[in-house]
Amino acid sequence: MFWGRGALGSAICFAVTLSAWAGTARAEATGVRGGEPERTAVPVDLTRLHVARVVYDSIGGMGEAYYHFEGRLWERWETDYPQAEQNLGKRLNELTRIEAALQPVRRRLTDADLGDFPLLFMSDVGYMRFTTQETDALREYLRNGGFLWADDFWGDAEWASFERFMRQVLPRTRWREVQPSHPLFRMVFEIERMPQIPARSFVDSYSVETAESPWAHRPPAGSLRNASMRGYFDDDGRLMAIATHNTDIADGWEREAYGHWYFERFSTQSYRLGVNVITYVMTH
Amino acid sequence: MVEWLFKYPVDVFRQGEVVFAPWFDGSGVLRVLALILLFGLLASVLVGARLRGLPLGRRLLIGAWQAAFVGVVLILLARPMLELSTLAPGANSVAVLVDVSASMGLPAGDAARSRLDAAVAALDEGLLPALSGLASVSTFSFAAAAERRAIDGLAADQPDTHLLGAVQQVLESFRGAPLAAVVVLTDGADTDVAAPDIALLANAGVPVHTVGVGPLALPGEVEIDDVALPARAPPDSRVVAQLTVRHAGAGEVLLKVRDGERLLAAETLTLAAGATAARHALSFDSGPGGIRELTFEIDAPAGDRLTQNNRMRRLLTVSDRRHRVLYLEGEPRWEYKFIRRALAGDDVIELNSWLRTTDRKTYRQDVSGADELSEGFPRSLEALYAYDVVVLGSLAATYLDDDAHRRLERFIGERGGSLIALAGRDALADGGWDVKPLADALPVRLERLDGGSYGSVRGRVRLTREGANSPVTQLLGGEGGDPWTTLPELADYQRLGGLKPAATTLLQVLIDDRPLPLLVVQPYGLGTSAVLATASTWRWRMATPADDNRHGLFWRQLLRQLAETAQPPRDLAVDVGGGAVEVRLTERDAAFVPRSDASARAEVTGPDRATRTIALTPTAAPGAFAARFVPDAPGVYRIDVTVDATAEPLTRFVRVGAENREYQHAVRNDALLRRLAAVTGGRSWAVEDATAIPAALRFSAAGVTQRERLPLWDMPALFLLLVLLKSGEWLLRRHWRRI
Repeated sequence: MFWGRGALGSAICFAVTLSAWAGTARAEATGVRGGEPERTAVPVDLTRLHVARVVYDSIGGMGEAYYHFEGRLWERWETDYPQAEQNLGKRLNELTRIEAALQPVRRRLTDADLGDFPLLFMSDVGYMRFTTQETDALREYLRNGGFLWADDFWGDAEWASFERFMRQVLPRTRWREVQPSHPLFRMVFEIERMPQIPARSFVDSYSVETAESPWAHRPPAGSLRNASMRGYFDDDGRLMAIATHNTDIADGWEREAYGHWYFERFSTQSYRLGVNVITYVMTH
Repeated sequence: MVEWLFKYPVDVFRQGEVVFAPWFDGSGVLRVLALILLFGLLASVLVGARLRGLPLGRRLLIGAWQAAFVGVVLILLARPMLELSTLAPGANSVAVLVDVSASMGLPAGDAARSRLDAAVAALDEGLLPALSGLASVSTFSFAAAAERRAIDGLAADQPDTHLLGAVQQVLESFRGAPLAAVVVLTDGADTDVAAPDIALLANAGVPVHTVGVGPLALPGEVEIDDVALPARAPPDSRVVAQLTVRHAGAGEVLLKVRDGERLLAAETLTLAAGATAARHALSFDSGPGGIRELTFEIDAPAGDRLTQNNRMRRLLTVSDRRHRVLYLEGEPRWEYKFIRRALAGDDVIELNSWLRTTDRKTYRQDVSGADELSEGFPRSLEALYAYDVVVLGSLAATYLDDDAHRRLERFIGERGGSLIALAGRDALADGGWDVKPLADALPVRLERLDGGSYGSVRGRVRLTREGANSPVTQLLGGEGGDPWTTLPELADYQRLGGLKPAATTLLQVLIDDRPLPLLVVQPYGLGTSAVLATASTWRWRMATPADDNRHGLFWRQLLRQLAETAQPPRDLAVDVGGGAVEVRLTERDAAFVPRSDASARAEVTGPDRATRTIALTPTAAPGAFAARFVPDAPGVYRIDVTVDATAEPLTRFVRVGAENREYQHAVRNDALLRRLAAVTGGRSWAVEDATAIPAALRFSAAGVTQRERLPLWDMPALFLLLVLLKSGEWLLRRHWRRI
């Protein structure tokens, strides 16, 4: 999700930023962030599935690297976090035989225990940037069989930015469209086309249009109408990473309680795709 | 000295019987005894009269002393003789066997002279002429068999020593002829693995005299005594060879295994002081499918003068057959994904998996057709028996009906397949697998625990001693270090009950410093069952560098070895023994029901490329066929067995006789030589004493003999006894001051 952009947003929200940042810092100090329990020395229960959220740094200032929404300042990486993962975990436990953890987990790519989480989730990656260490760590992670799902970035500029950093990770690999004919779309549920899930701020129960507004994203955004899934395939034809572009799948998880109409129209599509992707990743 | 005192050798007294003059026989003995008693009493009275005042006891002692003297004189007057059989002059034969095996070319001792030279010298320098004066002498050389020939120009160049077989052969060749004795000159280093029972040689009644040549020990000697290697191995897997090294001293030696010129593995073995043998497990990669002729060798240490026994060759058939593995999983989880990845593209293992994705949906992967596993667990024995291994994941026992449970148990026990059960929420005890019949097959007893037996816990893996020797758990070889302790910790564990009596723990996990069984295997019926009490080996892939392949190696190795031990429906075994090759075929149909109505033939191709066809005949066992052939020459033989002329032939290779055992433990085997002589009534001689053999043979009871009486009255021992008796009496009386 993106809320506000560019220099104007930065100027307006500067004062708010300072106070909100201070609040965020306090939350980090107490170890509580968005409902996530404090990290302790107790190892994570790896007998359950954890969809680990990737913590990354972003380019720019207010409206770019971070934004203000619902009374607090958000960094790009934490968009939809942790409610999206918590809701997804519940639905996975209900709909599938996967034993998913309900406690959210977030990691930097350079964390030593990154390998404990063979499925990483990144959101709002349009302003993302990697350090050399992060690039190397992600490359090693993918080579080991780990899987990356990048979600919620819209328009041409955000794709170009994301693609540029990912090219440093796997220079010889190119993104390819994952067509609806791919087995992933029939793994558990039959999905005929890639769903477009907008942030709930862009739609209401009467909306026909599902694309977000170009002005809300990094220019030049181009057309945002077509949602797609693009993939990195390894030398054996196995998917290593997917990028769900021009769609915000995790918002469908996060906002499932927003309203009945939203759940019916968007969350069900998000969960169907989420179940399929995760089941596919855990079997290939 | 003894022989001088008693005039004849001790053996002569053993064979003969002491007789006396006719008047002394029968009641004469009683009369003489009465006479001695009477004389003793008389002497006591007379002595008492002359030696008044001497106590009664001393008088009786003097009387007994004199009675003994008179008794000895009377024995001399009775003309004692030794009656025994002696060889009839000119009527008998003596067979002399000389060992011409290769070990007889080794030094006889410190001198440069060979053992054969020492034996021939003993014959030339007195033994043969003396024997010729006693009987007709027939000389033989022997190695694998005896051959009648002169002893001139013998060469120690034969690859076998069949000592007992050669003696038996000579005894049979003289059957009906007057053979007085067999004399064998040998080092006793027998190499015959099918030697006749030594006790049977005594039935001929001919004494065998053995003459041992060669040293009893070789200082500094190190040799490969044996290499135990599985006949077959899966391709690109770790193979474990058990080497037995015999040694006479302490130190370190380098063990190597080569495939042709290519070095496969090299490891250092420490030889302990005070021990005579050491065992070592040497592991190496089997390589691609095909036949391998492997050479195991020791780098000769300083002081090891006999280097011919530092290498040993073995054949290894690396299977090129693909094995099918059925993986049943009850929930999507990372272990499933990474096991599948480890086996992806494997040349040997074809992994077919069936997974419950939701309560109502299942997902099949890499099945061979639309029908395979379409109904879940195979519904017929034929369909289930098409697999070699079943991997049982986190799948509740109640998901399978009773028939499926019985089929799975029969898959292991009757079909000879392998089962490995993994840990999980619905696995083992928590999955309800503690019920018969499958619970009987598992290597551990499953116990339900309050709160479940499966959970999140960290623990590091440790290889057990049994695991170190098992091909199942050979991660890396020859590179030093322990590849197990450096693996990332496991993240879960399922507690097991007690181990069954036949179970073997190959891997343990250390949880709170307590070692707990992790990988346990056991034979069950014709097959193998195993339990792996974790489902987090995927960390070995995800938490290691990308070029660390231990996770893949572990799973490929584990499943390949389990698959290799699984019984194929058609099996062919070839063994060498007793100079012949045994071919045994087991023929079963797809449901593993033995077929006895088949017709089978074997095409044998020898080292000279010549082929011959032999028929296999049914044996008493159902579905079993056998044939036997005697190889013409040493070398590698190829055997192709065809059943009903339609099925694809089964092929095996076997090496015959090319392994030279002559230099194995090539010291004088005194124990065997003594036993051979003792069992047959002969004697064991040192080569330097061999010239005394003819004198001993003169009194042989075998052959044509005559009864002969040897006088004993003039034995120096008797005259010495008389002198001692009178001297003793004189000393006593002097001591008592009665002289």
